[in-house]
Amino acid sequence: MSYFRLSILLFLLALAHFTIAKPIPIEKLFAPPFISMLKFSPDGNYLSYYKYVDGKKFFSLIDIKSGQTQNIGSFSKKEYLQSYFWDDNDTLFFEIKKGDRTRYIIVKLTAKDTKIVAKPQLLQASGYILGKIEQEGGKILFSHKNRFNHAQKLYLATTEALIKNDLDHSELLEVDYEQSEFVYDSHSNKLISVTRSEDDGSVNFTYKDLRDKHWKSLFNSKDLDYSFNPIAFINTETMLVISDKDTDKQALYQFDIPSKTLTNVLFEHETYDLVDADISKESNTPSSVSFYQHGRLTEHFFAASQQKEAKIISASFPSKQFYITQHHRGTQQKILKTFAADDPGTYYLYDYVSKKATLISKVYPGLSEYAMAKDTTFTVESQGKIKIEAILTQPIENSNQGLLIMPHGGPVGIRDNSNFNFKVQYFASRGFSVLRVNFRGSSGYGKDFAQQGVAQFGQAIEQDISAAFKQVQAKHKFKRICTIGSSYGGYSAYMLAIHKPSDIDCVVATYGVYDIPLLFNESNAKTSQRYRDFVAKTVGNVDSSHQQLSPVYLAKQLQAPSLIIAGKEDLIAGFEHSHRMLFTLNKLGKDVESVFYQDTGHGHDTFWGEWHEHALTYDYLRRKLQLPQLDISANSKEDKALLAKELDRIGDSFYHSIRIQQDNEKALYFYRQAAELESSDAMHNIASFYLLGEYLNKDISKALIWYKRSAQAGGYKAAIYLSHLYFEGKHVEKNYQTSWQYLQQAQNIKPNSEVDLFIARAYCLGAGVEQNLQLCKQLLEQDSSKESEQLQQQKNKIFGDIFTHELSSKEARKMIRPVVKRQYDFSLFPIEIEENHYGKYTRTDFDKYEYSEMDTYSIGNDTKIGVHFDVEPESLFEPRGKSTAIAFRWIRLTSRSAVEYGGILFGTRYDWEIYRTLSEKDKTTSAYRLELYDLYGKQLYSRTFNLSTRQTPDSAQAE
Amino acid sequence: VAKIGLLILVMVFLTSCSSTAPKINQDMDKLKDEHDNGYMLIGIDNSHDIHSLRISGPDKIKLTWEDLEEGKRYFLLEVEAGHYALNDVKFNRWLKAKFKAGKWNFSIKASNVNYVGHLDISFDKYASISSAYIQLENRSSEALKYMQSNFPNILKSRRMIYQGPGTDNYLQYFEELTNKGLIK
Repeated sequence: MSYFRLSILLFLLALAHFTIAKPIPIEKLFAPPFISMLKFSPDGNYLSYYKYVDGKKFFSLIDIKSGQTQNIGSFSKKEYLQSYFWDDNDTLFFEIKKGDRTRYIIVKLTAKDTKIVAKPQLLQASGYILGKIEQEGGKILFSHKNRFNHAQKLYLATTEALIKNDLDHSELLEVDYEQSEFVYDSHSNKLISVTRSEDDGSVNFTYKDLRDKHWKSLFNSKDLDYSFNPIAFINTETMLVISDKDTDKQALYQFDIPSKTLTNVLFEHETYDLVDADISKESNTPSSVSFYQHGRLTEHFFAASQQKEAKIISASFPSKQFYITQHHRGTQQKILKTFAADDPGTYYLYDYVSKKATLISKVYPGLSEYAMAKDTTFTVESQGKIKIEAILTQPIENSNQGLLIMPHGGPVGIRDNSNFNFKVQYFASRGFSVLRVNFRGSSGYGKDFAQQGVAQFGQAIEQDISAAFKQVQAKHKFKRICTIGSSYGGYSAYMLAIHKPSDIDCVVATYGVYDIPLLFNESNAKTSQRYRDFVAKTVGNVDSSHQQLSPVYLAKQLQAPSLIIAGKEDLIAGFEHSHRMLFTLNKLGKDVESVFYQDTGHGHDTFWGEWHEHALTYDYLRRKLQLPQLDISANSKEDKALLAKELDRIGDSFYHSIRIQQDNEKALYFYRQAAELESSDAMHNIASFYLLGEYLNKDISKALIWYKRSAQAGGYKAAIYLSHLYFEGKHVEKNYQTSWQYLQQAQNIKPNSEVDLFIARAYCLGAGVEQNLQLCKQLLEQDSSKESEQLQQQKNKIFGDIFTHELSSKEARKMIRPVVKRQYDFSLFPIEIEENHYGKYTRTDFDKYEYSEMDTYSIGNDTKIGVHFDVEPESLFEPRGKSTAIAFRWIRLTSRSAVEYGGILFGTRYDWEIYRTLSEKDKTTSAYRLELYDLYGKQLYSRTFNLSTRQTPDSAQAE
Repeated sequence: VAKIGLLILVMVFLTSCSSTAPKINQDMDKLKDEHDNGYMLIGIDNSHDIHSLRISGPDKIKLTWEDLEEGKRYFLLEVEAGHYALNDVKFNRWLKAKFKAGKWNFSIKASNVNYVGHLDISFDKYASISSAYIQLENRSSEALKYMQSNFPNILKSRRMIYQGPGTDNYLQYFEELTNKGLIK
């Protein structure tokens, strides 16, 4: 039988029709959705949504009639829209999180010409909004917590009162001292309180009509030995609940509130647990239930009309899963979301009457060009004739003949499904097939199935995974097989490798449990009976056999190489599990690598963490399985740059991130890979390794080669640095023209205020370019109010150069003097320098110092050399206390002397001081010379400090 | 936030002085009393400077602010064998948390290196001390690595045993691997 199909129209964005299987850059995959939180305005004329584009966040409206879209507000980098709701057709409430703070903003919308103008106002009242109460004239139910006594008060307040924080004149409905959480159910106009007991951890649910005085008991979790998931109030005495009290599967029950009993089962699926249910707002009866059937989200409707509608949608979007996210009853419009294992989702505006579905947007339009891997759900019979569902995802093309067995965590009460999975798609796009198994213990298949996973660590669960693997391998004959999993999945990854040494080629175990007895003994908090009972619900009671089911104690049997990834703040599988496994494997001489993240718990909560971990894992798999470099020939130029950035970012993390242990060898390894993908940043970093002699032997010529490669590949930093080297004659023959060429290159790559300063200097000095004082002045006079401190320092140095450089001219100094005067506000008059002290500068007390004159100065721990002097006006008639300025420069004397640092100093007559710290890089420096000039170009002072270098003159020559 | 039997007190009077067991800094195995004394190894991680920490038992142990600057470190002490308990921690001159009996106890066995756990103390010095996270954690493998790196001679001649919260066979297992010559 065929059904009508929807008429599907394009609305905002054209669908991409042409896709290619190719590696997906990780930044595109692990990213916030382009569009989310779609809602209708109350009159149904607008669709509102949250939008994320290129790191920027917007709130937008679509005019449904015209299809026009408008951004009506944006959010700063640190602001996140948590939730929002339409108060009326012209008013929105935003809940915005910034750091640890949550604030509400009310936004008034007004039409101006063809545009809508948004006027935001911050609610001064602190607390959280429970809902808008239509029955109370649209007042807001607001919770405010007292900072000092933690009393929580619920108010019925007007918007104006919340804006002004005028809660004292608002109606107080409730005062709570129990640290309860409140939920308002607008459908039934009931207030529900949830209170957790400090003593036994039980949760007590009570409810009342908004204006009732007394709370009525709903249920207490300690009375329950079955699941109890409230769905909705049907009337004052009846609730709909999903539970498994008298059924094996999670079924839809009716709950009689007065007697607190689940009275009858309204719907139970024969195979699967229900995950949700919905009610008809009109009839207050159940309208649908949903469950995962063969991993796919499936909604079963009770009414024939809804069943027919679902069939029409299903026929219109073959192979997609779908659900309605919003329904506007006035206009009969709905927001429909479709998705699949190979589709991260698409939103449609669905007109129920005309049966038209109009495309709003893909959730991740940036992924449209990639052919995603499809999956197949299959059933396998495991030990005890138990049927297990498993999901195999295979790349469309470019398979590397590798299989990743990816057991899920838990192991009890968690499951895998056939939704779009970012992790799976990441590895599939790099050629891997991925096998996931809903082994016994997984949720979704009933109470008995879940219970069969309890106390089965390393036993029946692993047999289920092995059975699925055996079936898959018999058919596909994968050549390379690794296990990879998180939490219980990490444990399982090791156990499979230990049990099947001939099959498993490598292990990636993340945030795992590797020592079962340790689960009961991780800390004094975790040795409590209550905690042990909690753990026993999954692991079984403390048992002597646990040790022999633990990878730590089976480590000597492990043959496969492994990678351990963990978070140092993991409170679920404590960090000791991972450290213990690593330590033991290392001591047994096994091939093991590790990455431990600082400030990270049982997984990442940042995209940086996801990017880092996945890219690092892929690199590990590639190395251990000896796979060729990733084939990116089909990728765009933009993709190639992003793929290079992935590697460069990992290099950076090993070089200087505080989130993982620094490792120069690994940093260089990733920089080299990124450089092969033409990452100019990576090339610059390799150059720095050679220049500084970090990990690599110092090699100036190689450093220069890499700086030049980087500049050629579009590296701004390298172009600027090369320009600097040729200007100063540092490591190279001084060449102003080459310096100028690199400056031009830097400006072409990234025009900005920094490069303008260097260009200004070149124009002032005529260095590599014809002198042009007007241009120099213009560039130096650019608005400096928004300059960073770093840029201001750079400008000071440029000023210094203009007054002290060998190319400095009288005309240039004359032109720039007023610019410098305006910048620093000082007077100019003829001056002399009177030296007070010089030598090694030592601080002897908080405010005391001394200078020690020496023939030579040795490079030691924080050795400083410098001069203390006064600036005397030549004329006795100059008033005292007048501020003036001088220019200075430190020249580093080596076989190829160069100005190390310079600038402008300003101050009054006495106590001028200038010093520099000697560092390791000075081991090839024979001396430093300090020169001071007035702003007319006259040299006022010069002092040379000879260093007692540890290098021979020959080694100094080598530079 | 785990709060296991902590009683927060505002100090009115300074408590009386405690004697302090000697901290061992050199890798020389010289117990003063072979039959009655043992080594106590305790790790302490604190997110902010702490004024002092007292441990009561046959020997009275007091770690002071000089020992307890923000950071992570171990203390290896020679103490008389017997039952010990973490007594109290002072966050500053005026505010201390007293450890309630039961969850903060451990025993020291003579002649052994007794690893009694890692005291993890995290608190926001601008927030209420009652929100402090304090736990005695089992980090046996980290402690073993520390001993191997810093006190190999003591470890060569002494058994290192776990005496922290709960029971744990890891150190014993590692000893067996070592005795079988499997450790490289």
